[in-house]
Amino acid sequence: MRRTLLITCLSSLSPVAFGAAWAQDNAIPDYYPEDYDQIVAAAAEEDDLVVYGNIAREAWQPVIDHCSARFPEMPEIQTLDLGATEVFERYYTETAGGADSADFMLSIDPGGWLRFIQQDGVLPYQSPELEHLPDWSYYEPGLYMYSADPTTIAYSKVQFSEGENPTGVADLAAKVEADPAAYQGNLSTYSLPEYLTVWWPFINSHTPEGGSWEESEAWPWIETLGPSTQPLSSSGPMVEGIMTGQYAAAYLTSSGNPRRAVATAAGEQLLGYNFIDDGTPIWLRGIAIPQESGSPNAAKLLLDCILSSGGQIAVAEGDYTAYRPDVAGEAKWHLQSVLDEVGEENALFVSYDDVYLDQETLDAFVARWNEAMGR
Amino acid sequence: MTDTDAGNASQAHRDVTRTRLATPLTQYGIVLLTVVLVVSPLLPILYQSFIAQPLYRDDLDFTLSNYARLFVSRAFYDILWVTFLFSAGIAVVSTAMGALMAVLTVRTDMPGRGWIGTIFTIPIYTSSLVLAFAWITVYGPGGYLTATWANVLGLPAWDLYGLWGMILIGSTAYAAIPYFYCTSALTMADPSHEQAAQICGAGRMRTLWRITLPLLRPALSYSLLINFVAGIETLSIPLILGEPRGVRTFSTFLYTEIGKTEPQYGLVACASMLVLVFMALLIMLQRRVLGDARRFVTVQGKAQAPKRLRLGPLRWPLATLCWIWVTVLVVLPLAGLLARSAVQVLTPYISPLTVLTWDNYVQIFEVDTYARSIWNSLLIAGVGGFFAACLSLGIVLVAERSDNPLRRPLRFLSLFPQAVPGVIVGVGLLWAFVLVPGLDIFRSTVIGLMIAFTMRYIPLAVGAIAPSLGAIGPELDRAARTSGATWIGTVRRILVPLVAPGFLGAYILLFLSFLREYTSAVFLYVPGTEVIGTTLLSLWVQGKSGPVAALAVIQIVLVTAVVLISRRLLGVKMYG
Repeated sequence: MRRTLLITCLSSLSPVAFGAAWAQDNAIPDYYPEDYDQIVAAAAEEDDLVVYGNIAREAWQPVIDHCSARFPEMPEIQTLDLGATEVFERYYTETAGGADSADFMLSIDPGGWLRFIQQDGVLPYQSPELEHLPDWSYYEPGLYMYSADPTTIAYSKVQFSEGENPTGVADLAAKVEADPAAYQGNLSTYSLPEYLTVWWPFINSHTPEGGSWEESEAWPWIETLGPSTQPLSSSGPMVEGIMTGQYAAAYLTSSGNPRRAVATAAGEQLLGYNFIDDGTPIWLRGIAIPQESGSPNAAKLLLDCILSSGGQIAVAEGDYTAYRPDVAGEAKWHLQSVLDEVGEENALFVSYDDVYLDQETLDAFVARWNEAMGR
Repeated sequence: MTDTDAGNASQAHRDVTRTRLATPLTQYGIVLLTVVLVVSPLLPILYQSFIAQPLYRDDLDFTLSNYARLFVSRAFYDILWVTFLFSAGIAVVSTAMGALMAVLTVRTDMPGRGWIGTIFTIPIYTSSLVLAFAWITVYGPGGYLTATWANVLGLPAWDLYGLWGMILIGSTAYAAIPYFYCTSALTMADPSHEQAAQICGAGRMRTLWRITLPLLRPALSYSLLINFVAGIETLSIPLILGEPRGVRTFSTFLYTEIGKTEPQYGLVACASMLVLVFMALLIMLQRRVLGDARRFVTVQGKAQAPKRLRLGPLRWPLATLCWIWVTVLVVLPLAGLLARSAVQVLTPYISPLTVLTWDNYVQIFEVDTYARSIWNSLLIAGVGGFFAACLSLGIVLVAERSDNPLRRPLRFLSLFPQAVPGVIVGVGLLWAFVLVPGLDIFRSTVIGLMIAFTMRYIPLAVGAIAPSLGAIGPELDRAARTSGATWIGTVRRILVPLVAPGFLGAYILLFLSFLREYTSAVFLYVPGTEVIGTTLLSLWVQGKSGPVAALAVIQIVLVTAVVLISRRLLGVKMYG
């Protein structure tokens, strides 16, 4: 598509013609269905597009700017930043009474999405971008992925000198064991049950062949780290705490906030982060159009736009990680460079697995984790 | 009689009927509006407490099992116990702080007492949410002073999070209320009592203990109750300082339960009902205490400036202690907040001057969701506050100056929202708006929030208007009525012009309250209706303490501007 674009703009010499050609070419590529312009026309008639998600407005902004420029017909996009499960709960409450609710949804919670699909909540939709996306990024009947975000270990540059920083969970546990006095309540990580999506894949990746999660070799590390750790439900306070001196490190935390932090002068001096050498869970952030969407056509435009090359580049501009293979060289943050760095074997994709519906197993897992953490 | 005459006669008859109907229509209109406003958030909660499924489902079963499960739930008793400890702690500590400060600033010759008293009361003008952020910026686990103390000086640090920190911040936030009550009690009390005691040979301390403090008794007991109720319903302090340590009060229980996967709506509703009943009992107790208060206040004598207690050699040491007190509790946290809003990060490791930035403010004004929350707050405060003030005026007029048979129930109803915690108002109205067809329009605009805030603050406005109406002699109404004016005419021509200053005071109080309100908005806001408080919370959850500080500073500036303008230009004095 990029190449056609180049040819188009070379062939049209006047800048005005270039602008027009760009807009037209980008809006509806030739591999889109014939009748796609009808979706665009219908979207123009629809009300504001309300998005329920669990990412901040600033992160949405590049995506919204890009997609509104590509489809000037798109109605105004409103975003609401909620908890990962609240996205669904709010939708259920509102639609049951026939009230207006989300027109487009984003959540990091696989269990929430699986339940939502079971209850026929997702509007079936086949995006024309699907053929350009990896297989793992699509679930029937219309669940796609916004980004594929690696977790990290973020650390204080004041506490860890160059080269001494923790590289993985086992490494951090060894450091704590060597000098317990230096780590008193100054570590943080994601809490359970909110962040099963981090802990379940990580613990399971250290399970011996044919064994169960209870026998994971990761438990002793957690037992070592637990007494020094204050689990939190958001990575923003972890990063802020590392910079102010509250925390020495945060393990299995997100990548978005550390990325934003090191982009500032203060963050660059105070904070570092790296992927986790003994297992980097990679989140898949689900997006879909709900059945009750009041602006389904505008929602389709937004969905297709997020999945397009330009949309994925915009996703990375908002400090989330693009995964569409054909933008690997262009996006500010891309899954490919994560995979190159940690190695395929250490990349733990957070699959949309039925285990997230198995409350009994999850409760047992949370109980075991609390025990290891000493909570 | 010509046709025109007949027409005129029937027109005149219609006019008479219309004027005759106007009075009852207006009065019952006000009563009905108040009933709807007060009852609509409570009905869905009562209803939900008796059904097994979430109330939005189709297949509903009547049940008592919610209550049964609640009563055997260990967790519920834990929450009640923590809520009690927290509220009682706030009540006792804040009242002690307020009373002590009032005695020192009103009854002694301590130097700098005017300034000390003013600074001491600043927290009542900022919201407790903002105060909590300010404290964490300076004294929190990653706070500037904590980090300096622990990491740079290597001394053992304190932990602001948890029950003790919550009580300390809560008491700082609410100490102004006992302070105002005690100051007014002390100013009004006749100093000759104290002089008499001293003539009889009592020492300074003995006079203070046996005369001054007993005179404060009604102010103290009233403050204790008011701040106990405030402790039960406050959301921000337990949410921000309690949740990280697993200290959960009733408000945070409601907040977190509704936000989680498959919330137990039935339990939430039952717990709310129980708390409502308990709060209603407390409010009734409060009324009795206040009723008693008159007995004490009538101890006023001639207009005579109270003679101040001479502190002698204690003057300067006490003044120094008080300065340290207000500096540590109020000045440093707010200064820290201001500093945090202007830097990338506030830490002892790097000089704040090297990381100065406007980015935090730029982010607030550039991201339209954040900027919009400021305009929405101002709109709700300006327009919603005005309508709420009008309704409150109507309520007071019907309740105090009419012969409407429903005036006594109306008075009770208008004070009832005091017993309803903000979180319950939010949840109840959310359910009402979602369940009743056609009401969704309220939720998708700021009107829904205006309704919620009005419901919350009607008692405040009624309380502000009632005394100034009480000061207008009833013979004025009677004179108007005898001269043939209708009730509406009397209200319009006589009462409203005379009560205008009281109305203005109520409007400003409502404006300030609406500007800071967020507890009833957390469940009710939708994209497009964000307010400052909800944006603050959502930024805080993301750990964006820079923008949080910037927005908090903006809120403080707005509130201060309104307070100063109303004091200077309009001569309206807030609180006390």
